[in-house]
Amino acid sequence: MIKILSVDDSEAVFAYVKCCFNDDQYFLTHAICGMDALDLLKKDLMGFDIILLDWEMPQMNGPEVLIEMKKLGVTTPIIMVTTRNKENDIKLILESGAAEYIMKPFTADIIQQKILQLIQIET
Amino acid sequence: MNITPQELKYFADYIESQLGIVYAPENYYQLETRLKNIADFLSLPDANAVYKKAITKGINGTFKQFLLDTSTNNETSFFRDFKVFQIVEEKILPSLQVSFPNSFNYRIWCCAASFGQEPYSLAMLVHEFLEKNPKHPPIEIIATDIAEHALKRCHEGVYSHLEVQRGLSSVRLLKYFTKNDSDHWVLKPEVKNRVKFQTQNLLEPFAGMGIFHLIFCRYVLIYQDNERRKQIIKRLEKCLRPNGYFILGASESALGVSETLLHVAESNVVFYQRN
Ligand SMILES: C[S@@+](CC[C@H](N)C(=O)[O-])C[C@H]1O[C@@H](n2cnc3c(N)ncnc32)[C@H](O)[C@@H]1O
Repeated sequence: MIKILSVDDSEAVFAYVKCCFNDDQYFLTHAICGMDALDLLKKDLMGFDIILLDWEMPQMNGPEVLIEMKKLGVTTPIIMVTTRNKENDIKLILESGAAEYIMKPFTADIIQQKILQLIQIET
Repeated sequence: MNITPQELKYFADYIESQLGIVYAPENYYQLETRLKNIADFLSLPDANAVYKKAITKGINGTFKQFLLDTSTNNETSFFRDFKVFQIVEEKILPSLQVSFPNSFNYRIWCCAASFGQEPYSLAMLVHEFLEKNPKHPPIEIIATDIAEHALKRCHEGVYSHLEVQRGLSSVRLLKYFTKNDSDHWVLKPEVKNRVKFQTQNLLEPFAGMGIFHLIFCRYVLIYQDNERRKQIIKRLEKCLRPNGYFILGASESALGVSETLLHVAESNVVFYQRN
């Protein structure tokens, strides 16, 4: 079972992500903001196999959350999932330690394949 | 006027004779849709008119090219079945000089290029390998396909936002592409120039193709019947150097086709090596 933490303030986006992983192979947890995600990770640093992180969020944005996660010592692969698609955005996020970058809109096969590839590389 | 099954069979037979692609009667509806597209292309009212044109004037020129192009399935992606590419990266490329000590120039043939994702994935691996091994002899990549519209896309080397996310890592996306104003991604010359594209029908003689160290023949023989599949594999084998590698799609097999094509399995990937 692949445990995924999805950090996204939008219920609509989370509903779409849920459709992409509507299969017993995946177990999905939703955090509606960076603080909630960081709290979950503080309780169990290794609790997830993959973290999906949105960019635009009200209090703390994705890149800020990413930096906090790294400070906390999170080694789980983090995938930024966002509508931003400039080369510099991707560069910044990869340099901040994200493992992958997904540009919205995306399809289920794209997100599944990126996850499987990251997990295979890890093991 | 509706097109009849007999008339559809006329086109199915023609496509099979030209490309080897077999349309079973239960898939004739696909053919009908394609003939409707061709009718639009030729400014004819319907599929039936396309049939009339074919039997009176013959199938040639752009009509022929368009019919054959629309009959192909071009589904593809970057690093499709990425474990296969891991084998190329970790095993095949590093062993070339050992396996072929007398070669001064290494050659790879990708014989169903589709829109270019497969040969360009190989080109990225070759590029990275040669960057790390600057003294290695050159590695050439030839990519062929029968479909002209597919080869046109290969030459362009421009991919949509969805295409670049299928199989390609973000690191390689950044490294090898630039984004244009219409949100498409343009392949950089350092990878693009590594691949030479040509038209080649797998049913026709491989005259002038030369001899290769590695042949990628993936997800194209599935459309052929058994006999043609065997014939194509045998002819491709003749284009391989002894010890040369031959790679099919995950669902395809060359077992029992030739005694000199040895089956190798490594990290769950099957490939073949010429004896
Ligand atoms: C499904 S794609 C496979 C692309 C790529 N090899 C991959 O694995 O992703 C099949 C390709 O084979 C080409 N093709 C079909 N019949 C062919 C033939 N007789 N000779 C050469 N190419 C052919 C089609 O035009 C199409 O681009």
